[in-house]
Amino acid sequence: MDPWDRSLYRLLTESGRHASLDLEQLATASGLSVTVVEALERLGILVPERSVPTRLYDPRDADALKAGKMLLESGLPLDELLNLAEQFDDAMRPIAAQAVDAFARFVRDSVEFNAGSEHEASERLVETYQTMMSATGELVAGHFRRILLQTARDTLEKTITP
Amino acid sequence: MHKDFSLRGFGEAWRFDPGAGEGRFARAREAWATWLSLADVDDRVGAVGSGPVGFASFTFDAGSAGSVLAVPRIVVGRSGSDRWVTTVGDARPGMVDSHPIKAESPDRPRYLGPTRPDWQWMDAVAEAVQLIESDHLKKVVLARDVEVWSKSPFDTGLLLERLRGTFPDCFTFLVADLVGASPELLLRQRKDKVESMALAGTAPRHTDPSRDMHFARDLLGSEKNRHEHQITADSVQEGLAEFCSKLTRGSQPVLWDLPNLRHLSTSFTGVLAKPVSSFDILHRLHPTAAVAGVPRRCAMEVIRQLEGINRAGYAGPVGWFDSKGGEWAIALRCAQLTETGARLFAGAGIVSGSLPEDELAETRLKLRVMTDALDLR
Repeated sequence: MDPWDRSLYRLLTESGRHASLDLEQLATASGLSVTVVEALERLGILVPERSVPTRLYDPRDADALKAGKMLLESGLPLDELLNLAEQFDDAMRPIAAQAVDAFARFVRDSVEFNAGSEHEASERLVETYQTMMSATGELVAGHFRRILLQTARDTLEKTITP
Repeated sequence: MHKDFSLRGFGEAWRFDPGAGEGRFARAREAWATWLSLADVDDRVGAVGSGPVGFASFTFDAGSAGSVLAVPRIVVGRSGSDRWVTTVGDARPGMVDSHPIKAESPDRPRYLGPTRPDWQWMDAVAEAVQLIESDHLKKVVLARDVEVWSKSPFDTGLLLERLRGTFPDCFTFLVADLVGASPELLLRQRKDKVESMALAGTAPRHTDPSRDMHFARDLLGSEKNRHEHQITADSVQEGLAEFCSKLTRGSQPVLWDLPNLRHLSTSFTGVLAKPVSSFDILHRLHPTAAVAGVPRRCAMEVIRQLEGINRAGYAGPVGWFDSKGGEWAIALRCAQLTETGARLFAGAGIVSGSLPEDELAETRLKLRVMTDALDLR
């Protein structure tokens, strides 16, 4: 690992600093019981940010759990939800790998070339990463919303026109 | 009906509502004895199920109304290659309407949803586990339901054929509005001979034979499942022992393979010490630990408190009876038909160490018996 990559690596591994909720707090924040939250963790759709010494969770997990609870209350069976999550995970992993690879090839190397010092290189790398992370997140979320809407519309059109 | 035996009733010569409360089995026994004493029987077939035959379904909870006994005007029986017809009163075999009216363009079945969302049911399971770990409760069965509806009535004939085709070894039944295919024999009585079966401990099947074998070994070796099975079998034994001068219990739980699931089962055969009506034995056996829990009274209390649904005929005795006995299954893997749809039921036995997500998955597998038969995707 090059020295300027270290600060980026630190940033990525320190995303655990978002871990601020313990199990009970997460349960309270999501409106679910501790036992159901534990069950969801065993099922693999909830992953604690930190497990040692105690398990801590990202507060954003509470929003995800609340959204899931709403879907269950609308009548969606849990295993249907698990199935969707699993397929989404499978579909997204290769895309994420490709995005990371593109970052390394097109961005990281040019930052290294253009930076005057090791310190500058590491700072700019972190900065560029943060910009790209939020931009990519926005693009992916926006695109998924669009195709979801489009698919729903197409399905409805098929049932409306005989 | 099961394997090579079936009884189909048409029309209704007699119907009796035994009402709610603990006395319902005694009232059923009395009413049937009275009806039979007034009948002038001419049984020239002399087979199991020939002569006057009635059908019945009892609700799971003695406190719930909705139990029913009925004697059809015509019964068409089949046992292997033998066939016979029993008529009551002035009914003639030609009156059998074998072409029920079908909807012109039947609608598909549609989901309405469960009474309680999945996460609430998982909460109930977790609460039950806590009670088991802190109380003298050993096992409790928690059920959940899923309601479906359709714009046209369900074709019950097709439903029965599908259930029977998929589960030839099960008891396929349609009594009043209760339809299903149960693997569990509650009581078979032929004069002084009785049989029963304890079914508890469940595992999924796998399409790959070697992994399926693995699943089977896991089930046989699973302490949690063996424990659940043991307390269920013990409760059946206790119930039957009260009536029998001789009672034989299978020495080991054996695997009972269904296309979708696999259970642990123990069979019982016994000889009655003195003549007893099926209804009195049912009164003692129901609800078994396979559908309520252990201890029974405590489990029933927990079910009323945590389950939050009306089981209706689900997990109740369902079967046929005649002057010499009858055959009763526990109404599992079934649906209660309503005017506009159906309510599907499934339950799971909760013992110490049960995980809510596993129990939910188990009920989902059990519900598939009826969702598949209804062709509900």
